[in-house]
Amino acid sequence: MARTRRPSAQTTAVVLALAEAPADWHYGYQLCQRLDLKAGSVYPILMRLADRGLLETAWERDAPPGRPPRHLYRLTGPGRALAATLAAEAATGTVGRPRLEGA
Amino acid sequence: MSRTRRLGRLGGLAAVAAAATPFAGLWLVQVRNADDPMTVRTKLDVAIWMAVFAMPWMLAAWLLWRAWWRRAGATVSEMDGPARLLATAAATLPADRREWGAAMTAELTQVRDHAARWRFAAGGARAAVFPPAGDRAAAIAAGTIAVASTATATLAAVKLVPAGRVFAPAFVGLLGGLATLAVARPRRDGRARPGQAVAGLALAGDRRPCRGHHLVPGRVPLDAPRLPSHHLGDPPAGDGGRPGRGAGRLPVAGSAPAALAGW
Repeated sequence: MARTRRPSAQTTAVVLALAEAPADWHYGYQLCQRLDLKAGSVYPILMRLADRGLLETAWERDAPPGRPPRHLYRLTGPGRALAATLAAEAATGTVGRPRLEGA
Repeated sequence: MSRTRRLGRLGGLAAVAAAATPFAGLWLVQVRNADDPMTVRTKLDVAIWMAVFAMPWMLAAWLLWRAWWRRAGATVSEMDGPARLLATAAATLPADRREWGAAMTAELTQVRDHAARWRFAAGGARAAVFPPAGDRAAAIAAGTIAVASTATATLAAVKLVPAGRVFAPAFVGLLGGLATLAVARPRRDGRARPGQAVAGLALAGDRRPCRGHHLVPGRVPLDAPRLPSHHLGDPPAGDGGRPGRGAGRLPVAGSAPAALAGW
């Protein structure tokens, strides 16, 4: 049975930030800076989103020599749907929050 | 002596000291809480017993450190503080989370400011040491049983074995904590989860001193520390790929410590 959990404010912020350019790949540190969140908050959120199939991950292909390839993130279809719901609720000021479908 | 070798020895000493610290603390508590002031001879006797209990844990800590340092020491010794902190924390991630350790380590290379590097590394280390739990309910259940076992051990020890009123709850608490940790570590690779079975055994063993019996040997699995793969010279997994499941895991039998403790 799928587990449901309400997204936290920080999770919502991460999802909405990723949804601003849904086709683009995003970096973890970039998200930390943009949202002014610590890595200790952002990475667990990214892990959970990936676990639930809301986030697609990939490794940078053309990393310059001497630097490890970076991990890239973007929302999947269900992730974008969740972002749309969150954005709509944020716009209308709805109190209730959508639930994340757990894997 | 090379820097790598020196750091390796220092790290080994730190690991041994960390394993010995709880036992030293326990000795101190035991000495201070004794009904009658202890003679030097008695203090020494208690210290020898503590050393006997601590020795297997210290040995296990040293072996763990040595196994990890042999594999990753040369790379780690070239890193700065934040990178070392993050790499060490990332090495504790279970196999199915290891790519996240590599991800955070790779991101750290993008952070230039020294203070910001420390902040990022500290946050990443927190995420690595406490990754999102796979089975929160089981962890809560194990934690609850551990707390209940410790409380019961305290009451039973006070009533049945007053001399062990400090040692018994402390030992049961330690076992319960380790068991809870074993359950809380997320593993979603579909394999058998020896950690949970061991945790159950350990907690079952916890209850024995409550009945005034001996402690039961247990086994404490620990994840083998391992650096993210690209730090060892391999490229990380491909797009969305995950490292080999179960790779690099080195279960460490804690049965020897517990067996020795099961006097």
